[in-house]
Amino acid sequence: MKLEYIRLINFRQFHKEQLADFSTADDLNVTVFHGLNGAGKTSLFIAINWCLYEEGGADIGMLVNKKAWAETAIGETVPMVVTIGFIHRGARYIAERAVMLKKAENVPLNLKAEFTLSRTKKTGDTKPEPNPIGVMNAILPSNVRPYFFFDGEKMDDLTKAGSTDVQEAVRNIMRLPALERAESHLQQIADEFRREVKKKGSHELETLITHEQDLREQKEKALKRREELKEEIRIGRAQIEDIDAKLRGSEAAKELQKRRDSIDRYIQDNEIREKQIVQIIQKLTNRSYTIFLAESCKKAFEILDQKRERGEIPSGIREQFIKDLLERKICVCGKPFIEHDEAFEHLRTLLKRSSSKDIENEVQHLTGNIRLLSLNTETQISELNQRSKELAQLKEHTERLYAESDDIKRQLKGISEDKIAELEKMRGRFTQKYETNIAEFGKTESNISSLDNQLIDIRKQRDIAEKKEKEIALLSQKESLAQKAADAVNLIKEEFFEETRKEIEATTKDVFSNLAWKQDHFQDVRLDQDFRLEVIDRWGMTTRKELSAGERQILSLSFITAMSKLSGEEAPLVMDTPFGRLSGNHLTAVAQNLPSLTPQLILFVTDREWDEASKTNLEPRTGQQYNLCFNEKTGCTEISEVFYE
Amino acid sequence: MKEKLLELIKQLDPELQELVAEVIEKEREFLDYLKPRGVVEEIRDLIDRHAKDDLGLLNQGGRK
Repeated sequence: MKLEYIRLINFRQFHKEQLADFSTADDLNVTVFHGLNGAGKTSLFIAINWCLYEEGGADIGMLVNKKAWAETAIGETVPMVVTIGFIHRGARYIAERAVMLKKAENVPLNLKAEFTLSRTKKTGDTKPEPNPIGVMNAILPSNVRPYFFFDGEKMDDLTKAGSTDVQEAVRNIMRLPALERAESHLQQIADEFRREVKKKGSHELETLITHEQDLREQKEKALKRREELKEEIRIGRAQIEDIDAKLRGSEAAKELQKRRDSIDRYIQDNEIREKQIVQIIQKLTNRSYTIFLAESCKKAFEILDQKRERGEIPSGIREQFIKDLLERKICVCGKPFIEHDEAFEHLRTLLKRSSSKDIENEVQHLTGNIRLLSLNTETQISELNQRSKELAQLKEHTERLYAESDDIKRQLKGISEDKIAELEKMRGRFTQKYETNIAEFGKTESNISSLDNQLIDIRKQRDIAEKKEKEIALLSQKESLAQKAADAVNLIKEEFFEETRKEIEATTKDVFSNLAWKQDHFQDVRLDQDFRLEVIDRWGMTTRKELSAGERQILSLSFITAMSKLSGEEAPLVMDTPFGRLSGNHLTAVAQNLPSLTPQLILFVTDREWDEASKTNLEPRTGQQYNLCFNEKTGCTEISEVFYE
Repeated sequence: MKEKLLELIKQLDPELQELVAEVIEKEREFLDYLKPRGVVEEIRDLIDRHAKDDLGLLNQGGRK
C-alpha cells in the first residue's frame, strides 16, 4: 500500500477543498509536511486515520471546519469529506469518508459518515467494493494501523517497561490469532464430530451381515437337498411305475392293478380339487371380519328404528313439506287452519321433529350401508358353509379311495404267486420312501420360501444399516480430518511463532544497531518466548528499563520497521512529530536510515525537527514537501507545496 | 513470513496440506472482516468436502 494523495473538504482547520500528493517513487519515497505547533499537522494525521479507519472521529461535530460551520445558515448543510487515493498490489483505490452535516439551531447533528472504497484495475475498470471495511482491513488491518500510522512522541510507549504492546503488535501484524483461532475452531469441530460418532455408532451392520451369511448357507443346503429329493422322487416314481407295469402284465394281478390305477387317478383329482377349495376358503376367511358385524348390524337397525320412533332422526316427513303447509295455512287433508289452533300446533310439533335434507340423506346412506354389509355377511357365511361341506365330502371320498387302495394292496399280497406278492411288497417299500421324499420335498420348498422372505427382510434392514454406517463412516472421516488438522495447526503455530520471534529479533537487532549511536554499548536485542523486547548492554545485563526516551524511540522504530519488513504488509510509515525526542547522533542515524527501511515515509514535522541534520539526510529522498500555513485571520490552514530551488 | 507459513504447511501430511491452508485463509478473512460471520460453519463445510473427497463420495467436478 502506497498513499497517492489526500483531499480534504471542511475537515478541522482545512476550509473548503485542500489537496496534497504523496510521493510514491522508490528513490523519492519521502513526503514531508512542515508546520508550526497548531498549524494542522496532527489534523492531517487524524484525517488519514479517520478516512481509512474512522479513528479519531468519535464526535463528527468536532471535526467539521469551524469557519464553514459558522458560515452555514440554520437548516443548511455542510459537507465534510476526506478522500485518499492509494495503490495496493497493482490496483488503484479511492477511499472516501464523507458526511453532510445539517445545521440545526447551531448544533451539528452527529451523523454517521459513509465510507466507500472503489478499485480501479489496470484495465481502467472502476467499481465500488461491496464490503469496503472488510477490504480495507484486508489491505491493512485496523489493529495493525497504529504501528504504521503513529505519533512519534508516543512511540516510545511501545517499548516501555511493563508494556504488553510489543506482544500485541507481533500478534496483530503477523496475524498470529488466525492460527490460534484455526486450531481452536478445528478442535471444537473435531469434538463435535466425535460426540456425534459416539452417539450414532453401533455393531448393527456386522450382526446383520453375519445373520445374512448364515441364512444364505441354510438356503444353499436346502436347494441342494431339494435337487437330491427331486432325483430321489423321480427314481421312486420310476420304480413304482415299473412294478405297476409288471403287475399290469400279470394275468393274476392285472385287474386289481387296473382298479388301483383308476383309484390313484381319483385320489389325484380329489387332492387337486381339495387344494382349490382350501384356497377359496382361505380367501373367504380373509374377508370374514364382516361375519362378526352381523350382530352389530342387527343392533344398529334397532337403534335407528328407536330413534325414528322418537323423532330424533327423519321419520319420512320432510322439513320443507311442513313449512309449506304452515305457510299456506291449509292442512294435508285440505282443511284450512289458523294460527295457534289445534292443527297449527300439531304441524309445529311435526316441524320440530322433522329434519333437514342433509341429515335425512346421511341417515339413508347409513341405513343402506348397514343393509349392504349385512347382506354381504350373509352371502359369505353361506358360501363358506357350502365350501366347507364340499371339502368334507371330498376328504371323505378320498379316505374311501385310500381304504379301497389298501384293500387292493392286501389282495395283491395275498395272491399265491410269489412273484406278485414280492412285487407288491417292494411297491409298498418304494411307495413309503416316495411319500416320505414328497413330504420332505414340500417341507424343503416351504423352508426355501421362508429363507427367501427372511433374506428380503434382512436386505432391507441391511440397506438401512448401511446407509447409517456410511453416515458414520463420513462422520468418522470428518472427525479424523478435523483432529489431524487441529494437531497440524498446533504444530505449525508453535514453529511459526518461534520462527517469527527469531526473525523479528534478528531484524530489530540489525536495525537498532544501525540507528543507535552507542553501538558498542548495546550488544544485543532479544525478543523472548513471550515476545518481550529486551536490550542487553556490554556487561550482558538487561537494560531496557534504563533506556532514555530517545533510545526507546529508536528501539520502537527498529521493532516496527522489522515487523513491517517481515509481515509482507507493504504499508507506509506515517509519523506525526517523528523526531521530537531525538537529537544529535540519533536524529542523524534515523534520518539517514529511515527512508530505506520503509516503502513510503510520510512525516509531519515541526520547524525544530526539520533541522540541518534531518534536512540534509532526508531531502535527497524527498519527493514532495508542503507547508501547512495557518491564517490567523481566518483561523484556517492552507496546504501549500514547497518547490525545490 | 507468509512464505515461511506456506513452507511449514508443505511439510504436513499431503492429505492435510490443502485443508489446513484453506482453514488458515478463512481465519485470516475473518480477522480482516472480509467475512465477519460464520467462520466455524465455513470450516465445517471445508472438512465435509475434504472428507467426502477422501471417501470418494464427491463427483468428479466436486473438488478444485
